Amino acid sequence: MRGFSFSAAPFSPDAFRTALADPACGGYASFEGWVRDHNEGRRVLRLEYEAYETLAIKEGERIVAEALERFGVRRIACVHRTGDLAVGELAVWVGVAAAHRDEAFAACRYVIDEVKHRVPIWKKEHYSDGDSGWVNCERCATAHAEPLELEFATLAAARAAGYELVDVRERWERDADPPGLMPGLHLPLSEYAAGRSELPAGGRYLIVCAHGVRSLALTEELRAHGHPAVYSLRGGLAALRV
Amino acid sequence: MKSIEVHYYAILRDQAGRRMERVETGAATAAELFDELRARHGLALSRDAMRVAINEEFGDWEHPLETGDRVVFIPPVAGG
Repeated sequence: MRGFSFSAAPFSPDAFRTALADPACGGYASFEGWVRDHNEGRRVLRLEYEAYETLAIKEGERIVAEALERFGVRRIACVHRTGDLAVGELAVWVGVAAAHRDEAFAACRYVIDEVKHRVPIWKKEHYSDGDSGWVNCERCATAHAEPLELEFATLAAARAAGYELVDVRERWERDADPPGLMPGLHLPLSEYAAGRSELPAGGRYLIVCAHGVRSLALTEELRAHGHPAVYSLRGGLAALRV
Repeated sequence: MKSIEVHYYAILRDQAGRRMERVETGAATAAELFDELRARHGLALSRDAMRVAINEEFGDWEHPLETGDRVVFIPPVAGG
């Protein structure tokens, strides 16, 4: 039996547990990870697990070998789900058989902790508000990635750099400003928020408002929703040298 | 130029809009290749948040690439 494996369908730990049976073992410890209905204050409806299986199995087997060696236990198995999972479903199972309970508990703990941190498996959560996100990835995507704001002296310079301008000011604000000042798209924030307007996917956009506050908020929002190449004009129109 | 097979998983697959591609590149290392593809596909993750696998084993970002290499960028994992 393999120490670490994947299951693309729901599985019962029973068969795996039976395979750990060993007359030299007086203790068996196991851990089950289940799909929880909440994470970081958000209501979770379902999960997707995706793995880079070739490398994941190699790394999982290394973890099992380390635990066997380090804790002197007799047998270990770990099974991880892939695919779509509902709340309450079994996501991961670890079973350890050992001569005594202390090392069985310790090895079981070691395996689940290392699997979480080292094995290339990813989890996408689907939330009750219709949003979804890759766990541990979304935050670093905004924290380490491209700057959210860009500075330009003029709108012409931004266009010359390849950005399509998106004016998110309301209609009355544009009316108060000379029209024709800004070529590009008009996406009033209120209409976007109401779901009446969207940005075509795949563009390189510079989001512009009066002072750079609303455009920054919208840029963060768009980055999280499939628009990676979206930036906010720092300081807004007020900061331009015109 | 060398021909590299790149596979995308999870958030990078969503961002790149593909599972794999064959890339003709002048990139000398995995790091250079990632920077090139990050700009091309607008990938919103930086290298310091990630690991890289070359030919089905964890590798070094500075490891020299050769034609035929299979490269996988590994965003932060979340098993369990």
